[in-house]
Amino acid sequence: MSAATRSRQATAAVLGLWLVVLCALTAGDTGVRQSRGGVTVLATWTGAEGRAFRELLDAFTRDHGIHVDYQGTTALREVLSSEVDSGTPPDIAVLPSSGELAAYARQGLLAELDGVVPAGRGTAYGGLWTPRLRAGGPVYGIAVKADLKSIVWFDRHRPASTLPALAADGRRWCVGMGGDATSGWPGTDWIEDLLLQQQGRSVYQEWATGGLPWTDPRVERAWRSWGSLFGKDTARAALTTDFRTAGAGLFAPDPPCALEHQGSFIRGGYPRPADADFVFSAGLLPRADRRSTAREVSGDFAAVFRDTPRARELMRYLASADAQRAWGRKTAGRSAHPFFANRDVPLDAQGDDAVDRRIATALRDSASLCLDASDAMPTRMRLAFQRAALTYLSDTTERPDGLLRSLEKVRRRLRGDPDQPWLSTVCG
Amino acid sequence: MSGTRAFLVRRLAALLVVTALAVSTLLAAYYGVSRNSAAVTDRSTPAILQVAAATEALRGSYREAEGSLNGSTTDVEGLGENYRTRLSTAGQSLAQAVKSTTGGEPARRSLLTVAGLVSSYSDIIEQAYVNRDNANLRAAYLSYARTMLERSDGDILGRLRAVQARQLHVLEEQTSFGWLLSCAWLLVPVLFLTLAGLLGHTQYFLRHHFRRLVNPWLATATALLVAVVPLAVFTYQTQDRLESARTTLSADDIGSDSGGTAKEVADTMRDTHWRAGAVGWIPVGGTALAALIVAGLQPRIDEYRFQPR
Repeated sequence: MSAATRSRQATAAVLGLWLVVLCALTAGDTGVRQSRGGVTVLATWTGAEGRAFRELLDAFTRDHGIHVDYQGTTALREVLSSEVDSGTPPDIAVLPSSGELAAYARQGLLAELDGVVPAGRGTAYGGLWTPRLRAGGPVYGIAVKADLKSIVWFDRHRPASTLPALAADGRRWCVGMGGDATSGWPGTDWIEDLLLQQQGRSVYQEWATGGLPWTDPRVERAWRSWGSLFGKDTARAALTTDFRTAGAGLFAPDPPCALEHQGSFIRGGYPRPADADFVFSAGLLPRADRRSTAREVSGDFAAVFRDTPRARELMRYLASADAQRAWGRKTAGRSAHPFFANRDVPLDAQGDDAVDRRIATALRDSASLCLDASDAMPTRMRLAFQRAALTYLSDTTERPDGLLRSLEKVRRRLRGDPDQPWLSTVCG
Repeated sequence: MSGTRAFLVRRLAALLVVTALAVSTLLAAYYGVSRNSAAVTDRSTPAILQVAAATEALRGSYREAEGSLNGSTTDVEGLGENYRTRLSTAGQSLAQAVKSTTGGEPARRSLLTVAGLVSSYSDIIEQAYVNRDNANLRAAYLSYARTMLERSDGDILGRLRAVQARQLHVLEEQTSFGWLLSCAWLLVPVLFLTLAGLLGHTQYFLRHHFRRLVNPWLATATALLVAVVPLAVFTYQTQDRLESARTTLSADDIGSDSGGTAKEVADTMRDTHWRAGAVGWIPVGGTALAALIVAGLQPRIDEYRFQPR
């Protein structure tokens, strides 16, 4: 080989090396890691509940190699509607409001989920937990978590025989209406449960599905039962107390209150969850039918807004008994324990003790479960209900007639609005 | 082939290799710092200031609303012009922040969530106004609004703090010298001194073998190496300004005067842009350097081409 050839080769080698270095620098400069593609999830769980759910999603990412970006917010309605309006909805949203979910389904924004949970008899989910717009229509949501609401919490060291006397004294109830954007919802739960326990499931269902006027005497009776229960001071304090802290008083050294009417999820927020026990509200609420076995329940319904294979895979995972068992296990021994509507999730995966198992049993075996009425109502009706509950509580000496007339006007307007559908049934 | 020709071929190859390495390293080292000045000025600064401005405006909006509702002019002023201005500032800053955040997709989604929460927050404040004659309800709605802003978990300001922490982390990465850049800037003098040494030695060799006082091509190439000194000074100055900008943007109270902070950062970073432009001259200089070396040595190599073996 001549020296000239070698010289040319050396030069070519140097230029080649140079090119490689420049390419490496350019590649290194892109800086942004390429996204592997994932699933975005929006739900209401924050705090301890949010952390437990994130852990479940992390487990899904590990097993399936799909990244999940989770956002938890108490202003789910506003966030979701702004994202939907801007054309960038999350892949999956978990909504506590079955009414809001129905509105999205009516607008054709939700994917059909029949492939995710097989329809038919004997399936893991009852019809209450897999809503459809019409009988035989496609399923558009699945309750991946459930809670029992017709219950009253107390310190288990307190003899159960003393509870009726305590319940009759309005000052002994722990009540908190504060809940950020949805403040007032604990009040709606009170009124709903009073109506359910006083009038039974058929009246409740008629009212929750928009068939019964707010001015109906039976509805007014439920409102007045609630208002007359509390003294002025309890009502006033309830307005400015956050629902997350209201029940702490149950376990204080010198308890300022002894009973709390709140859903099963609240146990997780108590300072000493192990000391909490519950009775069904029918035994304690004023003028309730003491033999009532109707239970108000709530569900967190997952729905797919962007139908991608990854989103479906996560939906299948969230709805599966295996994932829910893991969810239960992940929160075992912790404060925020989840319960499930899926009959295939064993009871022992839903709780650490007899109290948890009683809740899980009630959710699984109760003959008469009714969805939270305000959650099932159209959004506008629900918000008006929440605000009316707050207004009524600010002065319980005033009769609720005026408020009920206003609510009735809202109901009448919404009866003809196809974009704000009422559910056809809320009890299963 | 004669020993001299073989030496010259090897030397040419060595000079070109070291030139390529030195210039590439210089390019990487210079670019590594200068590109950050653009990233800090064009992306991090507005993103951080928008989140800070939104935070400050929201805090202010609550103070203003509380002041108005507890004052005696609510009947004619409503919630007050100051409240509306603050809320509008917060909304605009958030809308901008959603577009320009440097915290990536999680931060963008978090800001969208905050925008939704702010909408609820303003609605709750309005409810306090609507119920202004009912002291219990007014106080209740104000307490809900405050909780939405400042609860310990999942509140609006907490979410903004988390986004800001993420953005400040990106800023930290943009303005810190880092081990890779440190290595590159350690290598630059080593490689350029090696190149200067090789060029000097080649000059010495040529003087002895070809009886010429100076090879002008190689002398020019050696002189060109001095250009690395101003580049190093520019880099030092740019890095100094980057750190100064980071200190300015990391202060707690930047949201109260976003405009002033933006101007301060712009003033700090002003001279760094033309310096950053020098990055384009490095490959040109490198090519010139290689051409000078080839021009200086190739004729000497060619002188041996037709000699008998």
